[in-house]
Amino acid sequence: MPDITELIEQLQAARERVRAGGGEKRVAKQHEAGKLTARERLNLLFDEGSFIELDMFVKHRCTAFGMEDVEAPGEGVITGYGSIDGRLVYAFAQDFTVIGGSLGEMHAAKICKVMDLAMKAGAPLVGLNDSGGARIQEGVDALNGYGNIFFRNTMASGVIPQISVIMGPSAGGAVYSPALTDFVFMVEGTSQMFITGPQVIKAVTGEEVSPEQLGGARTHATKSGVAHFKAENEEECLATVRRLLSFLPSNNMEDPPRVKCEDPIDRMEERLRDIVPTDPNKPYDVRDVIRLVVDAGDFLEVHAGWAQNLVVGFCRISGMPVGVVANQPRTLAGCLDINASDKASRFVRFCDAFNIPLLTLVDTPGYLPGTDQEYGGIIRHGAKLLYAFSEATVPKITVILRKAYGGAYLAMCSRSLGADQVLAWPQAEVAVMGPEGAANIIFRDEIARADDPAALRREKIAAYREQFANPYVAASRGYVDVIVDPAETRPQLVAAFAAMSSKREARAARKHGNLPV
Amino acid sequence: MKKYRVTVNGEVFEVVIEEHGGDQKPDKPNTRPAAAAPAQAEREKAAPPAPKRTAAPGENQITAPMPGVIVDVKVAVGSEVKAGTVMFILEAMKMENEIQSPFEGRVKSLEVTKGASVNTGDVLAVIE
Repeated sequence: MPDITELIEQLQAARERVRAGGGEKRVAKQHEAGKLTARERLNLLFDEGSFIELDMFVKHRCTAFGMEDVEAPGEGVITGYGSIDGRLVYAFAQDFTVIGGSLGEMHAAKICKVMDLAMKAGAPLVGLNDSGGARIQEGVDALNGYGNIFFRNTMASGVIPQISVIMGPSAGGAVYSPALTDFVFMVEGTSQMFITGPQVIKAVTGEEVSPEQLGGARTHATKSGVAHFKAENEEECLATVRRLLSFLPSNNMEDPPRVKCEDPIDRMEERLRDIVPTDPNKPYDVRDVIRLVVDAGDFLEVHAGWAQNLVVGFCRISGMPVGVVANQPRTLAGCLDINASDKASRFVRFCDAFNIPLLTLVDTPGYLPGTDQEYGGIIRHGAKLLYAFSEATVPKITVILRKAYGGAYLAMCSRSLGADQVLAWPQAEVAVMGPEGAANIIFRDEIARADDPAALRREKIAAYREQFANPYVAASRGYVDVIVDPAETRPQLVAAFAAMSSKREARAARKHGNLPV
Repeated sequence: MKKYRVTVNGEVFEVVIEEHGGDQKPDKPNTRPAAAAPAQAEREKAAPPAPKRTAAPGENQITAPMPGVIVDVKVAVGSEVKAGTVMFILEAMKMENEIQSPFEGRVKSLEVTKGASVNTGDVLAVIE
């Protein structure tokens, strides 16, 4: 009989073999490509020394095409749990050095196991993706593996936060697990996502495109909106994952983690009086407003490079995480369009699912006109935003900074859609449409008959502006609750969110609504 | 001698067009004479649009993000621009939108002047 020392030595040796991954050569190659190994990434993601690995001795069962002789330490994926800022998080990290991180039956089974555990424990799941795709030799078993992951992603949606970090290739079916999760991170230069790769595109349509152009971080962070965050390198990327998690509760039954607020809750901010020009034709950066209102100017923008005419992100107000949705007058005049509607509605639904209160800052002239918008289905996409805000039961506080016209006013979490409190700044213009358009319609005949139509038109526009382009009409009906000096916005918001902190709002029982996807 | 089939307002015309100076004798036209004029108009309308300027390697185009009027041009040909330099003021949706350069480089050409109406995607300038 071997004694225990010998057995422990055997165990150590077996562990070492798995920990070596694909071996020195492949690890060196990974580093040359500007990528860290799966283990190095997990070490950066988790609090030091907290990661506990599961299933390190799982082996594949494939015997086809010579696979019986192929050893795959750890099955090409490291799974386990640990702590991030002291809070439990589950994770998997695909190991590109082990047969290209390809996904086979047992590789998928390891991922599914941590997903199930994360669900049971009510803890977030972070997936570090770096895989060549399905392990072809395993055929439909590999395919079934993807399906099992997709199913679990869907079941976990709205129960635990799910974060996907793309740190290498992710092609074909592999892209859909990240797409089903709440946030997708990509690293510039080393991560690509696409359904059909450059070769297939070239063969079918003749278009020539590089993998980076087709599905690199820049593409997905600016053109497609697939990626919520883009990082210069892997270290920065994983640090942002940790930062994002600091705003999120571990599951849908918890409140988001409150921190001690060092920033005075009664801070008056006179700079807010000057940031938003009273001239409605002048642009500004709404992020300047956000930073002055929230705790210590700390704002984590989501989708910073895509649909920039609307800004979304996380901040804290008196220590409590809050999701911000704001029109951005600096881009596309702050119009709502298809992408902005998609961006905001997904963000609002995430916040609602995880008990994160919503702050909406309104300054929009309306929906972006154009045939591409109409043909692209702005009606369908715009409807999502109405749906998302109406459906949300978390505290909803709205501040109308300047323009709030027509359907876009309603869509930006108006009182009518269930805002708990609507504040307006004195320069707010809440009306059914802008003065120019309104004067043209109401006084069309009068203007047409006038001796000097242009002068009369100007006169009518001024009259309309005087009468309707202000916050007082809406306030007289109670659609605006409080008109505030911009400088006192922060204390007002602190009070409004505190008042709603134990808000309860019931909805009729139903299987689920039918979001206009 | 070339034959065309042209549809005008849903009505199909067959048009025979003779090349000038050709030595072929005109065939007996089997179309109504009236067809010639609309056919001509139709052909003009169907003429392919001027090829859109495509960026040469090392060039980057600044395009209009939405339809509007250029109310100010802030740079000149040859100016150096950085990412974030305001190049144009585009009045659209009753907003004086700043059109910034996303690239660093030199203005190679300006494709619009003050007062120009632009559509989404129109090239405003080329940076190299």
